[in-house]
Amino acid sequence: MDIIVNSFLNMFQPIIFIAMIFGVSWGIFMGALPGFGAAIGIALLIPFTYGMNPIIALPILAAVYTGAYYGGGITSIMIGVPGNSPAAATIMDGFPMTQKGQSQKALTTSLLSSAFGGIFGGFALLLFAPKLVQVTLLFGPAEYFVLAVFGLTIIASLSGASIMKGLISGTFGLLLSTIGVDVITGASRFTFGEIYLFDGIPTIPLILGLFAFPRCLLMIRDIFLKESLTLSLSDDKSSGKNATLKEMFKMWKTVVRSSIIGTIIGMIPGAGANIACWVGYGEAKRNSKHPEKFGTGIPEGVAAAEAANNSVAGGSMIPLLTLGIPGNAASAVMLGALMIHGLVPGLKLFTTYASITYTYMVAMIFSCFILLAIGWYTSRIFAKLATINYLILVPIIIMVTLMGSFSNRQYVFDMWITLFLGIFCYWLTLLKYPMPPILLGVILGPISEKGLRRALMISKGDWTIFFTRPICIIMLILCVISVYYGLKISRSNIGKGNEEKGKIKDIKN
Amino acid sequence: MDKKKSNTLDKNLLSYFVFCIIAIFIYVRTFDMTSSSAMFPRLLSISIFSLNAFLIGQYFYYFFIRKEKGITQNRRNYWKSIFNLKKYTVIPILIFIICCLFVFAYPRIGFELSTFLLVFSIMVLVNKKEAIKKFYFAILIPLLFLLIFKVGLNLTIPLTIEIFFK
Repeated sequence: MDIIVNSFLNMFQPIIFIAMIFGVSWGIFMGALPGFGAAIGIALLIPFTYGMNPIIALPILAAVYTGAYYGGGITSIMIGVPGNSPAAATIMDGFPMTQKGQSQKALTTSLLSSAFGGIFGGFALLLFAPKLVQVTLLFGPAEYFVLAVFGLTIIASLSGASIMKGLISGTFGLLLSTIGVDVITGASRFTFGEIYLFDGIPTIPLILGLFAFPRCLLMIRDIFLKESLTLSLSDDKSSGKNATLKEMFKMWKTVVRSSIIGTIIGMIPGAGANIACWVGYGEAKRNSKHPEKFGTGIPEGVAAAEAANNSVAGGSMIPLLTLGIPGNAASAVMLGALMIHGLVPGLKLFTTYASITYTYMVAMIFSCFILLAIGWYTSRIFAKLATINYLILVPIIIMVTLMGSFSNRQYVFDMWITLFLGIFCYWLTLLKYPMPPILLGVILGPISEKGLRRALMISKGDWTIFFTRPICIIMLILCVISVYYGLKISRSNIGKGNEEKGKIKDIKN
Repeated sequence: MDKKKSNTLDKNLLSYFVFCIIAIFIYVRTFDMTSSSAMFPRLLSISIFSLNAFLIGQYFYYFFIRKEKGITQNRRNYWKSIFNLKKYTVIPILIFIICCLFVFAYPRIGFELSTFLLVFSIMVLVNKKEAIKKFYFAILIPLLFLLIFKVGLNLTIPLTIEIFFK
């Protein structure tokens, strides 16, 4: 309990407090920019937090994470373009509210329910993560290998349209993870004599090359395809009034239900906010006394979607901090950030590094309060910022990306890694290869290889070790379930995506 | 098979071959390693090769055995579609080249000058209008970020002023 109180007091240290205000603002901005979102927002900030004390650095990243989930909803409401995919369900009622002249009410409803969802998810994290981590005490090398395989099964649901391409991306990521000195024999592999590669591909240039650089090139491609340099803000002359607390209390059941749904879905690896927002919205509609009003611009629709997608942030951190399994792309990047600061998920996070971990978890809750304060006064400003000329934004982000990859080890070689990986991933993105599985492969590669080889050493080359230990058997069953549901989610997402795209088009027309 | 699907298959064919080449390259490189170190990369290269070989096989099955019309028509435009010389294809490549030049120049001419050239050339490449305004903006950006990197984050970066004074 003391540690939680101390972590809470840490939040009032001026440097952490100011850093978190910046983190939330940056997160809202990145979330509001279509095509960016939490993963890129965190990726761009990681290099600059590298030199900081983790007690300061991790709360900033937690704040970005929280801010970005809310930010996506702002453009959904104001422009009718979701800043990120978890905000897609917010358009259903958010944009019609703007068209009715109630954008202010939609924004404040979104803010209050987002904050509630985030706080709910944060408390779930504080409550369940320390309990779940005890399970890892029972793990040996064989269990770690099967755990890594379980982590890799979420590739199925991160793959988007093509599972095969997801598998290729994931395997390519695993291959990248073998670059560097072999941790067991000490032999160098695929380094081509470059001393810069002895420690493997550095995480920061890798993350920036996978997410930030290709995104910039895609933005430029979009400029020429659409012949437009900005998004246009809807002609919203009368913004209306804020949502009142009384109105919010009327929706308490919807907000709590969506928060529970979001937290549970967040805990399932691979499911994530993209699904949570639709499930939350769907359940709210199903349980409503007036389901026919959903989609016409009612605050309840906005609240359901936003509470669900924000509570995912806390939920997805539970398997991440305890087992090292990221639930979605943003938490995969977050895992990279934790590792850069020398924090490996598992029991040590809750014993040796408990003060840092609890500060991070409390920061996830505290950042929701900062979000409330910032969002209440500045949502409209962020909506305007999201319409910034891409011509100004792209060169700045390219420069920050390249300097970010340099800043960690201060080797120009790292900039080359970002560039060449970036152009390769740009080409892969055009061909619809998903990027998160590559990062997942790189992160889980060393765990799976070490586990596999050590387990085989213990069993003297007998592969049945993975099928005879009780935890391994349970995990393998979970793997099969995860692949099955991953495929199901992936397929239903494609169907739902097309269906909802149609609906969104109707709303905008 | 509909035309859209065959078109997607066409465009992806090159990527399947690239991944196959990467897998073969990795497999060959493992010959120099001890069997213990080579096991995991070998497993992965075999997996990546098999996945892509399957997809290549699927393509040729549709092309030779089922003789899908979509693929036959698309094949005529295949190389044209890969080397599509439209603005939206060329400009990102040019920006990549500019970034390469930036990385090459950065340790030699310093942060301020290289960043100015990077920002200005990207902005002009994307849109040639109001070049003077962009010129001022390109001067402002490096100075602003110099303040952030040098003062705020205390990064050791090569400065143009220092390099020229040396």
